[in-house]
Amino acid sequence: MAQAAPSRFDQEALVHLDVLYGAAMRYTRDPRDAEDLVQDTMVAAYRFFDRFEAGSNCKAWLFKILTNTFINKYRRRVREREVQTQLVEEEAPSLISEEAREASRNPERFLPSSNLLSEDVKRALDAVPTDYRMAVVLCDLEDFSYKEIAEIMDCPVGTVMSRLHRGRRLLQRSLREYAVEQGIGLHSVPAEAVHDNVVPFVKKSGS
Amino acid sequence: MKSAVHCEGVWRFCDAFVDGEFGDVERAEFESHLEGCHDCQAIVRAQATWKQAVRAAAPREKAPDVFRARLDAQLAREVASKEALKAQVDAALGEVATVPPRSFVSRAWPYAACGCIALALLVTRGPHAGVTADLIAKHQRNLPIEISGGSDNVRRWYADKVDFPVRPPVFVGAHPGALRGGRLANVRDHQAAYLFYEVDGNKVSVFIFDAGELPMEARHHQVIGNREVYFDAERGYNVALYRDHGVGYAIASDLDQDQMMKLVSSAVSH
Repeated sequence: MAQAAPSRFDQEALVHLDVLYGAAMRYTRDPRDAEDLVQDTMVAAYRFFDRFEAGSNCKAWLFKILTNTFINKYRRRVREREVQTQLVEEEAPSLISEEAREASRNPERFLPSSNLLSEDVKRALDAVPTDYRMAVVLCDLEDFSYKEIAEIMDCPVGTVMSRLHRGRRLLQRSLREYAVEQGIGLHSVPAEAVHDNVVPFVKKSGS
Repeated sequence: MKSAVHCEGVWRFCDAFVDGEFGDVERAEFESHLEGCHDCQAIVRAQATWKQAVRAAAPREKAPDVFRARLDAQLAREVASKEALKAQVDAALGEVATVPPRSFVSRAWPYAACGCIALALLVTRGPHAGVTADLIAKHQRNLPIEISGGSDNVRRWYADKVDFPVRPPVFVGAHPGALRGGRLANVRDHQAAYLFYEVDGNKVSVFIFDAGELPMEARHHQVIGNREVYFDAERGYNVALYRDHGVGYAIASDLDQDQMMKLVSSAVSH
């Protein structure tokens, strides 16, 4: 970082550079665009760092700027996706029911490959429509709560839930189909283990 | 006791359960159902396994060194620019330091124009003062909001009411709910969309209009980013005008001049 920059910016914002770059790669799917997006984000964050409340979540604040900047820069695509999202959300209940019935009949068919590869996840994730992909990235990769994601994406929590649901199912379907094409086994967990009691899940703090 | 949660509820809210988003009561009811339903256990187990597997295998690219160096250089320029601007504003404002805050800002601009060559301020006053007064008069009044909701809702409302596109600006870094709503208005007898914002607790009025109908030349002029911005001040209120994609924007507020410049530089219309 430049010598004259405030150290608080270095300590609180620049430490998230790699994480922002990784998310920007998933948002844009292009290294050059990702660099431009992160640079725009960091410059905006620096200019408005006095608006950042000390002690609050700097990573969430940076992701808000990153996501805003991305949406503004790719507005035309976002408009197209908005129409798509509405259609999918209307379809969602029946899809949930069908997939759930199938999953309960053949649970092992719905489990990930035991050797899920980073390159495969990247390829499948990049193919998920942008709004859903952003929700999956923010929740599964960055571990933000639904409330934080709603703030970052500037939408209601219900919309976060539907985008996340749809994004995950598309991602899973893509990875399952790819595994079948490649002849990779899908059974990472023995069928009997699937019917064991569900392990406790830890509630996120602050959610 | 029979569980309050049914299988369809599990299917629908499985993600929220796996993500740890439930409160204690909902969680207990959900788990109570799972205890007696192996099908739902399988579904929840599958989703938890997927979440863990995707997270574990997700790509984690690091910012390349070349990019880090480029960003460092860019931030160094920002640091220099910010310090230079601050020094210029401090120098200009220092000359009227004894004046109370509101009139202080309005009087500071002629001084700044004299003292800050780098700002390239062109100070003139003329018929445009009428536009400024009109904008400030509207900003001061508590006019009722005719349309509220998010940016898309506001944009749609204006679509069949004015002859120019209304793209509510987003102020980067401001709270997402900054846009409070809008109404129709006239500025010097020309049709305008009047949008209400609240930025950091301050009321900010944004007027959008046909740039061809309200000329913006001959005000205090400054280039911010890639925009030509025209500033004016009256009675302690500041006004900034600029064009974006052929549409005119005027911002009126009681923010001080430094805050106003930051606000304008953060405005993005999409």
